[in-house]
Amino acid sequence: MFATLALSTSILLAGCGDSGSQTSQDNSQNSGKDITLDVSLAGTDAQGTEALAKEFEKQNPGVKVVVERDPDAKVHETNLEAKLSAKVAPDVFLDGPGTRSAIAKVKAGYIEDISDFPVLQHINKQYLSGYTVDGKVYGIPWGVNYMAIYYNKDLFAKNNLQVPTNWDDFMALCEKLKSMNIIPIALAGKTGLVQGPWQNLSATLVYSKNPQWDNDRYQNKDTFVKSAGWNLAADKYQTLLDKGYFGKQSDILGIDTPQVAKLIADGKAAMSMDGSWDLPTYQALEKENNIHIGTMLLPGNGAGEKGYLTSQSSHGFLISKDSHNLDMAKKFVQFITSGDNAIKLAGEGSILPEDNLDFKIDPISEGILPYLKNNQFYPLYSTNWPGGLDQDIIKSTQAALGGGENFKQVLQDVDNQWNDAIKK
Amino acid sequence: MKKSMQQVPYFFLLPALIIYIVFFAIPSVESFYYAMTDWNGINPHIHFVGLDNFKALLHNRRFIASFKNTIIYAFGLTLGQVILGLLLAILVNLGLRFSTSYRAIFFAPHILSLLIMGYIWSFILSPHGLFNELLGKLGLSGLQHNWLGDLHLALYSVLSFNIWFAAGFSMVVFLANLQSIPKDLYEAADIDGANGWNRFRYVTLPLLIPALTITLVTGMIHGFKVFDVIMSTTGGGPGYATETITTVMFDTAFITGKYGQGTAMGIVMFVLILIVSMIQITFLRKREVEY
Repeated sequence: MFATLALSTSILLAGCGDSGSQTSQDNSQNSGKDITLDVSLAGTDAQGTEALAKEFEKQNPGVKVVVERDPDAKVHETNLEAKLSAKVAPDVFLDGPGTRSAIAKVKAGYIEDISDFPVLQHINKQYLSGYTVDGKVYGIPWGVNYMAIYYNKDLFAKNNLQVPTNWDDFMALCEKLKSMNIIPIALAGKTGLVQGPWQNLSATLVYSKNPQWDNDRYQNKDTFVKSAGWNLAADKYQTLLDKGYFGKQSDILGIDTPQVAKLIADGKAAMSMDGSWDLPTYQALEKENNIHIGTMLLPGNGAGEKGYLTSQSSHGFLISKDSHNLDMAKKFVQFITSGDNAIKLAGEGSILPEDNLDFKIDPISEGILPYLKNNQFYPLYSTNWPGGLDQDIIKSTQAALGGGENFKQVLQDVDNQWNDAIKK
Repeated sequence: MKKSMQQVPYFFLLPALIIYIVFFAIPSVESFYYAMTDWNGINPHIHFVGLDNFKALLHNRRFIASFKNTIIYAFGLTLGQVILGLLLAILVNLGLRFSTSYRAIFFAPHILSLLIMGYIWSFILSPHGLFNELLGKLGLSGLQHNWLGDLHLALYSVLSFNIWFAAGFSMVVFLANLQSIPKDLYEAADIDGANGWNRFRYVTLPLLIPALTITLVTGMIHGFKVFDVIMSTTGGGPGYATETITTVMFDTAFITGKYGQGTAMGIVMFVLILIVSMIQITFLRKREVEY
């Protein structure tokens, strides 16, 4: 019941103070005088926004940019939904890609079409897919995330281990590490990172074979259970578990990200499956333990075949359709996302979605850079799935990792949840 | 007194009443409406779907698991905290040396934040945590487990921690009730030749029913609405092992954006608590005795 308590209260209150009177006439340009742009961000995302806002103010006298940050993405999303429903949304805000976040807001009619922004020509369409509806683009990501394997470079060098580029080599590497009493891949089984192997394996085994697989699933032309690629991914995930490459099975589900980092720092584990959002954890690990960390793909591909990475755009800048200062809001978003400003916006070491910019990435991420440059990647699989399915896959996968079911049953669970979501 | 003066108290009540109505009463009533819609939290076009959200819960594996876990948790917590609380109250009431210190020690966990304690216990109960280390040092390494990561153990591990946390509160309620029982009733029982057990069975227990009513009802309500301790220890995992109605409701509404369905879960929980509490109160009130 408290689910509605917060939101319906805010809507009720907003209804008292704002009867939705912001019509198109309010959206007219205020000629650059005494304009206040409200910008809402989450956590430390797009860390250069405040500095760029000041530059923008200098270049546009009479314009004041007020940047507010919610403590984290969850709080941000909840606040944003309440504000949008009450038609008191900020002019510009960050939101995540995909059906649950940006696309839901576009479909509800709250977001301005920005398809004519020149900067979009330099962004890979894969990174825009989570902000695109019916061919129109509604958001610009400030950065790029990836899901990959982090590994202890020093441990590899000391034991003359090579970074594997196909499944067989990867299995041989894991076996060698296991024989050395080192956990090959520390998996934070307590967290959503149990999706990691699914992500990398499905990019190679499902989406590289059929980039339109999600559409096929929506049209019931294929299912998870019937899909050869998904079954292969389930087999490989099961193999990693059965061979003990995640360590002692009874321990996996009690481990979280800091504990994974500790296992690597202590030399008890060689690799971990993680996302670029945890990069600061690995940077700290390098600094505190005087070791070197690298990144690589979990290769689901056979020898001589290409492996594919999972790479997703970060949260993106969206513009409220109800903004009183629509043109100025567009000008601001173009200002912060274009040219060198995009580098300042993302911050040092970040990977950017633009292909025309010369940016330096953190050395830890260098291992996955070739996949990004060669266009060998697909977005996080759940970007365009029905909202909430990633939660179901996490829960089912944890049950499989705990021995409660197997990975083929995970596919059946996701199919069931998908059918249920589509039916609604 | 003039009629206008008689209305003054109502005037002072008005601010609190308005806040209560706007922030609690209206949203609560609205919940019944939203539970029968496809509301996703942001879309202004809300469609009435009748009882579809409730029917969907019957096929929702995660909700079914959470329902079962919630029942186990609520009854387990209530029984655990009542039994442990009663034992501690009796122990403290014996008038042993340092009984005041014992009372403070037993109640101490309850003054801390359950959320913070949950985070601390998740470290203590982790595979390489203090608890397993302690078992190892005591030569009991065979008992070492992944307490919060085992699909079959996790719920009971969290439950045990919560009983430890809540028992102090029950102890205080029982203790207050115990100390209010007139001594002459025990003297009369002694004259009648009652032994220790009979004194407890026929004097103490009947007069403890008011405290029992409070601890059983509040324990059951806390058990049904458990959220913070689950989120801070296991997050509902591993798998569905520690999911409760509130954690699934939170995820369904705030994470996956199915506010209509999340609200339907809230209604189910409301009805469940209402039924169980009514049964408890009706049953226990009949057994209360006056002296």
